Amino acid sequence: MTYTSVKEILTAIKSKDISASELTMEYLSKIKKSQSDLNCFITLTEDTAIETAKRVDNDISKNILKPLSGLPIAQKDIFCTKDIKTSCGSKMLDNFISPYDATVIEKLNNAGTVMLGKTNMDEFAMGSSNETSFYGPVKNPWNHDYVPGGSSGGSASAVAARITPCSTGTDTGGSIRQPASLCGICGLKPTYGRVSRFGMIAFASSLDQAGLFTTDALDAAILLKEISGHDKKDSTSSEISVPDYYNYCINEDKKKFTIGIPEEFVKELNDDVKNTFYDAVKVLEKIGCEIKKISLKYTGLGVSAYQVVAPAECSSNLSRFDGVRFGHRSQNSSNLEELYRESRSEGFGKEVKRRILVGTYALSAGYYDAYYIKAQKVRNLIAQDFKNAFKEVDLILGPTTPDIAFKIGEKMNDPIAMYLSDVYTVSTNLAGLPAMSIPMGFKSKMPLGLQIIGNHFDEENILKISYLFQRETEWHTQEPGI
Amino acid sequence: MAWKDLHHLEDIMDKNTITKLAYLSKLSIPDGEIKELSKNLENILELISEIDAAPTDNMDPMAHPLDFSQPLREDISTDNINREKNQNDSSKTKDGYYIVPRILD
Amino acid sequence: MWETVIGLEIHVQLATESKLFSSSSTNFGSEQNTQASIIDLAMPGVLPVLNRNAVDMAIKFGLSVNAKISNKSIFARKNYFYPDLPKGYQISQYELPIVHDGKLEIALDGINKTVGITRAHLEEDAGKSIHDLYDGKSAIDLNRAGTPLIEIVSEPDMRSAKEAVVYLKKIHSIVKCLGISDGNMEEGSFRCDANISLRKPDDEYGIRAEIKNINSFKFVENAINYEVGRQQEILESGESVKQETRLYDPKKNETRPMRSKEEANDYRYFPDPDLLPIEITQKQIKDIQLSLPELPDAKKNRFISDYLLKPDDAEILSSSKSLASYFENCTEHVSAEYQLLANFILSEVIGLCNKKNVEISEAPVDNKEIANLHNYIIDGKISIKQAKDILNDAWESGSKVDEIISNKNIEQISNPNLLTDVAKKILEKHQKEVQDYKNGKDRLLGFFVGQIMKETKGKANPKILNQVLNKLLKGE
Repeated sequence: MTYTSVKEILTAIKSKDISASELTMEYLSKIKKSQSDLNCFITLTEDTAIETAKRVDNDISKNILKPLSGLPIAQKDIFCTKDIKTSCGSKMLDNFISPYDATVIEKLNNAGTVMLGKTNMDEFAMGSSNETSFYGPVKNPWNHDYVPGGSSGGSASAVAARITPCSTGTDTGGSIRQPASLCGICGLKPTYGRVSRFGMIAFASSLDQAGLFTTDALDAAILLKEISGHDKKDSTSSEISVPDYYNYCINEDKKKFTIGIPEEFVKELNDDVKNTFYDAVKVLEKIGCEIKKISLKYTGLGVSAYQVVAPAECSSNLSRFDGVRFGHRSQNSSNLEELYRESRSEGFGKEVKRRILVGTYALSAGYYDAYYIKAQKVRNLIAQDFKNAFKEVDLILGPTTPDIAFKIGEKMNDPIAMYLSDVYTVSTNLAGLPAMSIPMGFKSKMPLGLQIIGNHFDEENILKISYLFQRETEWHTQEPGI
Repeated sequence: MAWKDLHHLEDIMDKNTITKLAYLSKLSIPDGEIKELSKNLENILELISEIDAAPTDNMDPMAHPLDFSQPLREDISTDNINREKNQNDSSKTKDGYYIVPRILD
Repeated sequence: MWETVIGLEIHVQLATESKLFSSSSTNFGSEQNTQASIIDLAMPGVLPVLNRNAVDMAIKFGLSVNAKISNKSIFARKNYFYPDLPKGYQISQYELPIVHDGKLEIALDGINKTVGITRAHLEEDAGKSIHDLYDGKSAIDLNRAGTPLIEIVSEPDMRSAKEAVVYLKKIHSIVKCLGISDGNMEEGSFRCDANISLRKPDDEYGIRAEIKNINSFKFVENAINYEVGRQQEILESGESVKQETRLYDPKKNETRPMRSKEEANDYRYFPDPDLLPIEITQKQIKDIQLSLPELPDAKKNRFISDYLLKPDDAEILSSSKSLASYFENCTEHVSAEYQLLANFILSEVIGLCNKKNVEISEAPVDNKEIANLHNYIIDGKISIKQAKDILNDAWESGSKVDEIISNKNIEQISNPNLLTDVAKKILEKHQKEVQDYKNGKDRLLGFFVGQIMKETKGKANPKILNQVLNKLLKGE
């Protein structure tokens, strides 16, 4: 495989160095070889991929070229894909064939991509290790005993293993950035409202956002342009225009960045991670960034507030899974009450049930003010923190995760420990800010990620700084020895 | 009432509460799982209780990260509804209806 | 001894083209689930987008009941499970409804009263469940799911079933006049729930029962009366009324508890995170205010002052858009005695409409013809009875009034001299009756009139005839 990036692939296809069909076949073959080891995919859309690639090649022969013509991509199985199984990692939707395409899928299809398959994920996006999936855990390609992170574990692992050049993911509390960090790749969560949520199976509506996994920042810039933009089918999608991220990145203007490091993000780090982080900071200083110490006083409350808001919203969003119109319906029901109860209890896994119960509790009469309202107020506190910080700095920096990947099974019985691995990522979702994780080094041969957080709709500068960092470093070029 | 005010009661997430929550959310929890679930849920509530002390007296609840108002759609009926495709799971339908066990009253 | 306290919740289906949050059609009567899109079916991943026209209609309603329109309004999820509710929650409004604090003047038996309107909010309708199609099963049709409703909640200000019906009818005429609903109770586009309780005057409110989904004005009155009786019996036996939801059974004329309305359902309302706050500006409100049609009350008052109509007749004429315009179109060709015109329309024209099962707007006799009849009556050219006959004829044959009058030579005999001659002749023939009349049998006047009418083939002008007869009978 000579092509390692989206950019290279697009160039090669455009200049006809390789055909879309050839490229697609290569990736399909790699996926099939890796599936029993890594379990990245729930559905391999082989026939559709081959057909699409053929059509792309046909277009190219007539010099019809689209922005992403021939680019193979893996889609997280949370995006509805027309006439193709969409399971959301759950038994509840194991039999669900979506009658429509999500907007993100439609955009990427129209841009000329070739969908290789639907990737594995934590059930209904609830999890940080891809261990709650009905279809079994995904392995970290750097060490198969370790988790890839979650909920977008399959998408992250696949890109890290180079069995797809790029993939989509979703991020509600860190579900793109955390797996990107643990798998040593780039993971971008755009601003809330930047990318349409129509067709993206909802977990927590005010926090969910679709995003991307790539091997480098420029690739992310290219793809972000194609998936962003206003969608009138999504009331929460923004009308702010979409810039040309790629050209902004490579533009040689000498912009001087002021970067803030919140003391709350570094004070509890273990030495290895701390040293790796500060090495990365030195690189940024070397390229001319001014580094400032800042404080995000209330980010420490992020996990707690998140564990109210997300379950509350999901407890309501998941009520539609009742076995009546689609999805799993229990055979053990003789009345309506049983139909609901048994279908849902059979269809949902433990973590999903836990969150539904917590969410129902937080919204119930007598607890609504103390839990839901209070958490939304704390959310405001956290958002104010960021707002004030961005008056002084352009970007905010920190480690994406407190440590490297953990072993499969290690935290499954300790939900709290699992939730705490999101400690650096959840506050950005609560504030709706964009953020990206890029590789910054290794500990015990396992990857570590650097998180760059930007102000609302400032993906340009996040991408630019990442691109500049990647010009000086080689972490993002490292591949797991397969 | 904050969680901490309830803390003096033992076993907040007791079988009673779990049963009521399970009823509201249409889930069944087997008896054998209640103990573990109760412990998990109480731990989660303890984690959540950290927000109690936050100084939010002058804060509004933030329902959305961005300050937009609701866009409006023109009142035109446009949908090309493909009932067959929507009902591609034929095990749940008959003659175009969704079929469930007889609802009482 | 017991005071009845009634509050009404009215669900009005809005006459929009498309649904509240999806662009599916709202047409009534389509084949099951052919108007249920992926959004209406609550497929995974779908999202709601708000219908502009529904918002405008809600504002129109609010303005017509002198209510406040919220500048910022929020949608909330009402969470519960039911097969006709695909999402497992209804998108409704809880805090910050779009309309609040309105009032409506009603009049009953000449007494005016103000009924407070606590709030009116937007929400989506549920689908339908049909229970008798398949053995042991219920069939769900989601065509109706997502249709826009406004729920109008009154203060518990009504004190009798009759008052409740007057209020209900007035709201009904307002929504029809505004054009925001077809108000068809049989098809379910105008539904009423009644909250009823009893108390001793000056006591706190008693425990109330809710009677759901009553779909005719008559049933509302019957249901309330039955329920009041039921509660009275309970209270007088020393028991307390159970707070519950009940259904009205029109066949048995009784209310009974609803089995499926679950005990103390906690709806867990919270702001819907898929929707943003609706912002309504003062300018929008002003523009809509300017576009409002004349409402029934204003029209009624205008009919009373401009046409000098009796309040009850003004009320009836103004309560229906088509009836009001029919009346007014007639007045364009008439210059006096509008009350008589109203009488004629309300009894004769409407009478024929009912008999022939035809809407007033489709009456085959047009306004100018009615005006002619009216003018001829006033001029004494024909009697009211004759006018009625001509109307019937015109209705059936399609001929013009003038034609009928000249063909049948119907013109009234109004010449007093002519009538005196005929009257004298009749009185001559019935001398015994004349004597009886003079001795006190007043009713015989009718007999004389009848005989003269027969003689003149019904053409005697009754007013002039009466004057002539009186003169003759007194004189002789």
